[in-house]
Amino acid sequence: MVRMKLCESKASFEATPEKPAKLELMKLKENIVSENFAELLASTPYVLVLKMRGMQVSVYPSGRLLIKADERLATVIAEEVYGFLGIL
Amino acid sequence: MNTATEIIVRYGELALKRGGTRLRFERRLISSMKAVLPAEAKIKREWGRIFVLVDEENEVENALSKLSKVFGIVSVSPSVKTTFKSLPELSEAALEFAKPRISKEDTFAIRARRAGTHDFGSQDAARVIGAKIVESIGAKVNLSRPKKALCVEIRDKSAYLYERVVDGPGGLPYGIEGKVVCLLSGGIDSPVSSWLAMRRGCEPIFVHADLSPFGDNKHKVMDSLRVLRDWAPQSLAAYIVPHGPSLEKVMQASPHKLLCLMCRRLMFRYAEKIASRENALAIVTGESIGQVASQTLQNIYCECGATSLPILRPLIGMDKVEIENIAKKIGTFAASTQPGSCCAAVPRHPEVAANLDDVKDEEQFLEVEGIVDEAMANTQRVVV
Repeated sequence: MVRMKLCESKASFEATPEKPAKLELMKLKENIVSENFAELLASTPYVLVLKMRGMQVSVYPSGRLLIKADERLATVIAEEVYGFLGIL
Repeated sequence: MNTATEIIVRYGELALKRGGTRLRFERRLISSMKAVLPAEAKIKREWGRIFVLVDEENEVENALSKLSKVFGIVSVSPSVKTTFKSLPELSEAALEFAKPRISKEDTFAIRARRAGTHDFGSQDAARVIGAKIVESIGAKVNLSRPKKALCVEIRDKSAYLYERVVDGPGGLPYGIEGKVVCLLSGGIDSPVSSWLAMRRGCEPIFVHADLSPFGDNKHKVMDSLRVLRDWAPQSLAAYIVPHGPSLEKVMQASPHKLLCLMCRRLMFRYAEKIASRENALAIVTGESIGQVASQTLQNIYCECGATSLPILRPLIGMDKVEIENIAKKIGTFAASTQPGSCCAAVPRHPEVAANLDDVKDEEQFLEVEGIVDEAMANTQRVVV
């Protein structure tokens, strides 16, 4: 179950997993690259920025996602990311 | 006689200047006016006033609209000019002006001003003209709350009759104080601070730190620039600095909570480089004390040393509502509040009381000069 809400900027949707995660983003980055899961735009210990289905996705250590897309596509992307992370 | 084709232009602070300084300011103001008026408009300068002559009445509204956005102008009035030899002759001209504007049912007042040597005072003129209108039209005088107010500005043997006063922005002529670098974020505040600097005679060179891929507000910045362009007598230059790669490097090496401070210090360094290129003398920002985490007094203090240029903060003492009201008045509010992606790199709990030494220590782990140089190498200059 993915919780979605419109971000304050009104340009992105925020997704949060049911239970907060504790992601090691630099490790996650390696998995994303090695499994060719998404295009990596920026990587830091605090946020990863990916490109999926042509949309920008920010991934935070808590599992929170910021997805610059409409709600329907943002939900699809969030489910894909959480599926990859195994926290759906 | 009744066609208003001569526009009275009033200026404020310029009148306090003397001698060569006043002449320089007036010339700069006239140059700004020429830039926005049609080529065929004639401009003449008299002591304390500037007059714009347009050929046709339908050009007046366009000229008023343009002049009401020229910095240095306090107000403008479309007027009918007449010449006279005596006060009765002036009151006849004023009556002709009043006839299509005042009816028998109206209450009215005459507001008179006078410059030059005359055998009557302003109040005498108002009284004689008022009596003429009462006698001929039959309208009643109400000096405190008139339905119609007719104004007459007497200057030597000429008089300007008008009924409308359109406000201008006031301030000082555009560019008279030199160039400044204005940081534009895409939010509400920075276009307002830039406008206020422009209003004080500064020519802005804009700098936007593009947050991509952590955020993207370029469309908001470009829309704000287009609005600000309407207030300038010339095109505006803006530099778009790719700031995202710099942020990535900072986050890879420094504590996340210091990111906003280190981000701002980088922006000041970009601004300084651009200021040097453009011969600008100061940096203008939209900070207001305590508005957000990066604007606590302690954090503003931590911006020290990132640049040797003066940092001007026109909004420093304003609250958000005051800033929003100005944004609405000058037209930038809509551009600033359209959807845009906020910065995805912002920490959940940013530092609100940073220590300058800590910030400087963290910068030592970064190749700050290299980061700035790389960003500057990929900077784009656009003209709006």
